[in-house]
Amino acid sequence: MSLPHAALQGPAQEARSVPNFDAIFAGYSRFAWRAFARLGVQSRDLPDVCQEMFLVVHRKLPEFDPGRGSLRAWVYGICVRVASDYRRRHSNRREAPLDQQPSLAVPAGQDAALQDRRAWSKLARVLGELDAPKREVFVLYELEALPMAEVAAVLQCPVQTAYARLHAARRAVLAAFASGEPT
Amino acid sequence: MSSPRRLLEGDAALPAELASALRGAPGEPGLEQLRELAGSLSAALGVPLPPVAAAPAAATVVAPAAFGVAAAKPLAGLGVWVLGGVALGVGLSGVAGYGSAAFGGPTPAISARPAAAQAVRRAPASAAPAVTAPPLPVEASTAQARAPAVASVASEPAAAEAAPGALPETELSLLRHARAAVASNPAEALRLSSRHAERFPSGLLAQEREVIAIDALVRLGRGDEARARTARFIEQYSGSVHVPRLRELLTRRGGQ
Repeated sequence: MSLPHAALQGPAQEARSVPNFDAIFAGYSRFAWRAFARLGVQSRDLPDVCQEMFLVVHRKLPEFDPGRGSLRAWVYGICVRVASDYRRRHSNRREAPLDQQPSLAVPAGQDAALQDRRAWSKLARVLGELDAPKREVFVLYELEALPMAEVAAVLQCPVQTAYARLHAARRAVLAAFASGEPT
Repeated sequence: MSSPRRLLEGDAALPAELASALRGAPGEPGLEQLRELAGSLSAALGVPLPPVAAAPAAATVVAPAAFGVAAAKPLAGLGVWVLGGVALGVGLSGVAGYGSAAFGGPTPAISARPAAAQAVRRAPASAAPAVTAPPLPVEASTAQARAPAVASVASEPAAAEAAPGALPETELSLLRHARAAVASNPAEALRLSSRHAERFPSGLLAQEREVIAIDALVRLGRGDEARARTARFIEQYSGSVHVPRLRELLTRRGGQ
């Protein structure tokens, strides 16, 4: 692949109608909520941030052009930007930027789900320390499981840039989890 | 270039704690959270949203077999119409026709994934590396999509921060208060909309602010100002979904 967007410049897509807002909310509300939580929006702010995002979607929907990209990438793109805006707004707040899970010791083997959440708390801190582009690629690719070409479309960057960001994010994450730092 | 395998898709050297962290990432909202979101959004837009159902909508969700999601059964009888709630509410109650224009077509149920489907993600750490990629919204021809025209989202100035420890005044909270006041105290609504403009000059919800301000002006009998502000709005946001609503508002109240 020599050109960043070569893989994205396929034949003209078949005409697709733009879904109405109801359909978008029905299809994406759960995913938007989840993506915001993974991108660093605190639990208590998720309803408001989701509402802001869907107000933007509602207003911008007439501008969506199916010929220029997928609806999913368009919606995720708005999610990423609203989350970025949120983090900027909250960067000066005197509190942890990300949800902190209870740090109580969990007896081994007692509750795998709680252990997972504690481990996520550590990963969330690591992701919160990454710069935004690396964090966004990691979340979209590793957690949201978007194809890399679509990650690049969401973030409006060349695919190879997205790969580079992913590798950098992975290095940081693996280093943090290899160091044996306490959660 | 083939995509690298995701971390949970077979990297044997993956630290167990990291695998656990990836499995422990936040999931989808619960049914009640989704209903509350639909309720507040419905109030904000001034129109009802379709029922929130507990079952995944097969037409909108990819359900990889690895998750067992396809086997999840819808929970019957949990559909509910959501209306009301406290929210921004730029909708103009009583404006006929808007709903059919902006919300036309079929209204699919809003679904929340059954708990059983999420439980699959909590596989024991000792298990073989599991594909924990969550289901994605269906999108035909997605991989071939070109870079989308993503909405440009501006931010308010960093200076607009609350005192340490206090909940910051957000765009949404400010406009929510403005909207709540517009009928009973339009002067206060107008003041709050002005405050929004000062604090969030490039905010996400500038158009919604203008709708509230124009509504307040009309209610205050300042029709000339309302019409002038509407004209500026239309000039700046000619394709906005709010334009028909503003015209209807001025017509309905006669700009009195």
